[in-house]
Amino acid sequence: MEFKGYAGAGLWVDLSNGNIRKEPLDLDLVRRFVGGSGFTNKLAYDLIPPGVEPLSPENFVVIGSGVLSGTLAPGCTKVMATTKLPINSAIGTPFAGGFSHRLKYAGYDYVIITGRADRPVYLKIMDDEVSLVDASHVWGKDIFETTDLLRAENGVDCSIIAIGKAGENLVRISLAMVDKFGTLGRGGLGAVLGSKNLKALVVLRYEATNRDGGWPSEIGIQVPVSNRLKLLWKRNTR
Amino acid sequence: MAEKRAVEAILVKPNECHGCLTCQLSCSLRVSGRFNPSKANIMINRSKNGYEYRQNFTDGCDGCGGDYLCVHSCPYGALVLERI
Repeated sequence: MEFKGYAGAGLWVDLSNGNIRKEPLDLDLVRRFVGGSGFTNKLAYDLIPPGVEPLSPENFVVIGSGVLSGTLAPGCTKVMATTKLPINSAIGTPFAGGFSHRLKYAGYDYVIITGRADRPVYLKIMDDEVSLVDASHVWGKDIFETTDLLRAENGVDCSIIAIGKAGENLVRISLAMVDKFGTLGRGGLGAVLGSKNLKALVVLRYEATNRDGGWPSEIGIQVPVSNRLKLLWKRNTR
Repeated sequence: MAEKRAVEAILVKPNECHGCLTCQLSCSLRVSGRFNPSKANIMINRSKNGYEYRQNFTDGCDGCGGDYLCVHSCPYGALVLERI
């Protein structure tokens, strides 16, 4: 396979008409911008036209994960969400820990979200089965309650990015949280997701996934990798 | 007098586990050559309240032929090798 370390696909979600499509990862893109905030920024700068209001449906949110997230490499767990931020109308990238490895196990390197849903929804990603689910029962609830309710619906081992009441009410310093601990707190991402009526993103547990492989790595590098990792863990934990 | 033989076993301390999945990833790397937690022989599952973790081993676990990668990769000391 050509994409070592990549899941090899991106996801497009247009909330206005409910269109969801999967596109193959552009090899040229990842050669030039590697991953994480590199390619999310490249995609966002290409997609968002000048003069777009951050809280309008024309704004895009690009959520991406890095090359090494989901592997054993330490310190590579971040998920990046690049968008035009409402606090200063500049394109910026909040980071948070978590979520990115689940996104890659589900088979996607990035998710691009645009448009505005006509009712509160949440995005449920389960391999190729990606759907927009009605979220009116969690609309108006805070982040912890939302996370608990969505975990009760989808199983405790899913990973969730959720917004709270501030995000719904378009507060320009609102944040989104990953699994109750990671904070996508920069510049008001919560308001951008709230303006799209998107309450949460849910990636289901990997046991639910039945595709073969996750993503590939060479069997030949197994022993050096594990030795190097042992060293790294020893250094980091003592 | 019967000869005593030491048997190695993995001692699991559930309260020490932080759910980092490092053991599961190193296991899947050894078993399948890929980073895919669903291929691993150790499964870390979040408990119902979301703050504790359960550690399960599948029947395929052979202790890596004596290497015990999960034990050596655990940074929190939740998996310990015991001689009994």
